[in-house]
Amino acid sequence: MSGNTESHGDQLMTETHLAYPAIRCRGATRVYRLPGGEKRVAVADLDLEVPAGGVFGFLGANGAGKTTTIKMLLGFLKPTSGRLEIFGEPCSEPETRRHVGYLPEQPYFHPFLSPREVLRVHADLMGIPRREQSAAIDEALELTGLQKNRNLALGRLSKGNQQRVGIAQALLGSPRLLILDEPTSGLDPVARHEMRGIIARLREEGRTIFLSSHVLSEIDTLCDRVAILKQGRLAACGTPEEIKQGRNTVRVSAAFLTPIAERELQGLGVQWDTGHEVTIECSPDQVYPVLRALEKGSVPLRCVTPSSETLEGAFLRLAA
Amino acid sequence: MHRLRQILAIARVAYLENLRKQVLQVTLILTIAAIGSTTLLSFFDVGVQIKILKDLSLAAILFCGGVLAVVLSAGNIPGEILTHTVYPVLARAVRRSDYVLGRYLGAMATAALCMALLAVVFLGILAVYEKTFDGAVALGMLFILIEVAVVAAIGTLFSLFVSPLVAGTLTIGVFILGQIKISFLHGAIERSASPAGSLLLKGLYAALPNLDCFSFKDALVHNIAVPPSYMGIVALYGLVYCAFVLSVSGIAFARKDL
Repeated sequence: MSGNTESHGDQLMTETHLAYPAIRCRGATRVYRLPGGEKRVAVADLDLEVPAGGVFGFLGANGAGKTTTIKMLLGFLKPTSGRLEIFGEPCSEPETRRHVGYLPEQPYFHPFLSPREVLRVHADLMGIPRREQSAAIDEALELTGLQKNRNLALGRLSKGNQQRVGIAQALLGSPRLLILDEPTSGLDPVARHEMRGIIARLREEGRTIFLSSHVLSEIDTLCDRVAILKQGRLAACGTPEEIKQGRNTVRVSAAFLTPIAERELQGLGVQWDTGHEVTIECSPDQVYPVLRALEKGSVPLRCVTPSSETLEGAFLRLAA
Repeated sequence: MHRLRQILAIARVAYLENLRKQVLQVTLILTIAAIGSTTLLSFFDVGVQIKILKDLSLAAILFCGGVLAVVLSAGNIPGEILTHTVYPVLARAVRRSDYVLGRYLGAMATAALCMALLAVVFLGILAVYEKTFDGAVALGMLFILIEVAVVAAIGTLFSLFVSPLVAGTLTIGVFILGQIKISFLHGAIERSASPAGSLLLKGLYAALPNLDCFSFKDALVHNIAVPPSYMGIVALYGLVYCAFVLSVSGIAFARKDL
């Protein structure tokens, strides 16, 4: 985002920067008091570490505690207990956020301001020197494709373009950590593709992107690591492959089953579906015993297909 | 320096936002109409007409100031929370107290602009009658602005604890009680028979600002000079009161969950 992105990227990977994870939550808990004295635990004893550099996906069903966690990270909410840090500094301190860019789920800006004016305000809030502001603003507008609409009031822009303004303000000043809440919400397929390109480019520059999204294919494509929240607790955390691992299966298709084959398969304890063909789903280490059972029953084999669990499948298994 | 720029950036957005409030525009038009209508009282001799012009116009400007204070303060921060426009700003390295101060200064800049507009109209009409610029009246209007600043600071504090509607109502209450604090509450404390009632009234007396001291209307109407030292003390009182209430507001907002 700066004039010399390459050197800035190098600068990001300084020792100080690498010494701390981008985000660290230790026992972060947030309890809401509801009317009538009732309590609701939104986030419970959350331990999370987001390494500096790379894209970290933050997943969870609605009400899982994602927004509460993000709000605690940004200092909007105080944790009931526990500690949250950004680059080793406590989230309760405003100064901690000097290296953070945040894109809210919906871009909330004053409708009478133009994209350029919004960015000017945020440049002042970030303390970007006046002489550098124009260049930084133009770069953010260019990157998000807003140059043409830079002087139009936000109220007159489409939802997609308003989202672009949100992205532009988050990128302004080259923050080390970007917290993006549903960044592709409201964008058309072309803009979504461009957004994914921007995120990939930011990762290459050495920035850390904390990405909360319900678009699981996007998370699967972009993220180096993923955390899944369920009812305020961490259900899983690891690389997308680790999250999906353990659920790799193999599909064995056959034309039909003979009584001998059925008996043999029952003995192996595998399940099968009968439709226009027979599909047997088994674990990788059961493939050869299944094939031997089919051979014994003189069953004509159609195909053997390795089947990996998708992130969506893992998400449904872990978070639903 | 960086914090000052942050505060001014927040104030600028608040100022631009406030200028679009229709209720302010309507109040301003009505006040200008009220000032203008005093010129229609042409059946008095010039000396009396000037007194009536000053009296009615200053009363209208004070009323307008009260409306400004309530409208600009009661929804100033809650409105931002409601529309979520507060989030991108506070996601930056901005202190909550600076945010409160920025929003307040934006509101005060709007109030100052409105007051300046009213001053131009009022002093212009007055200059036609008096054939000279009345500096004392201009100074009197500045003190109405300080009064607006005090009431708006209280309204800002209220708005952090209760809904904008309740905050507005309470601010109106403070505006009215503040005008009659000395004349009414002082007597009420002396007349109060129950110790609890007396204590309550004393507490109210101590907490409420003495808004009456900002009004030089009678002195201006009757061309009585107000000692500069008194004006200095009153201005200082207003500024210290604002600073105290805004500090409390900053602390309260810093503790608030968003």
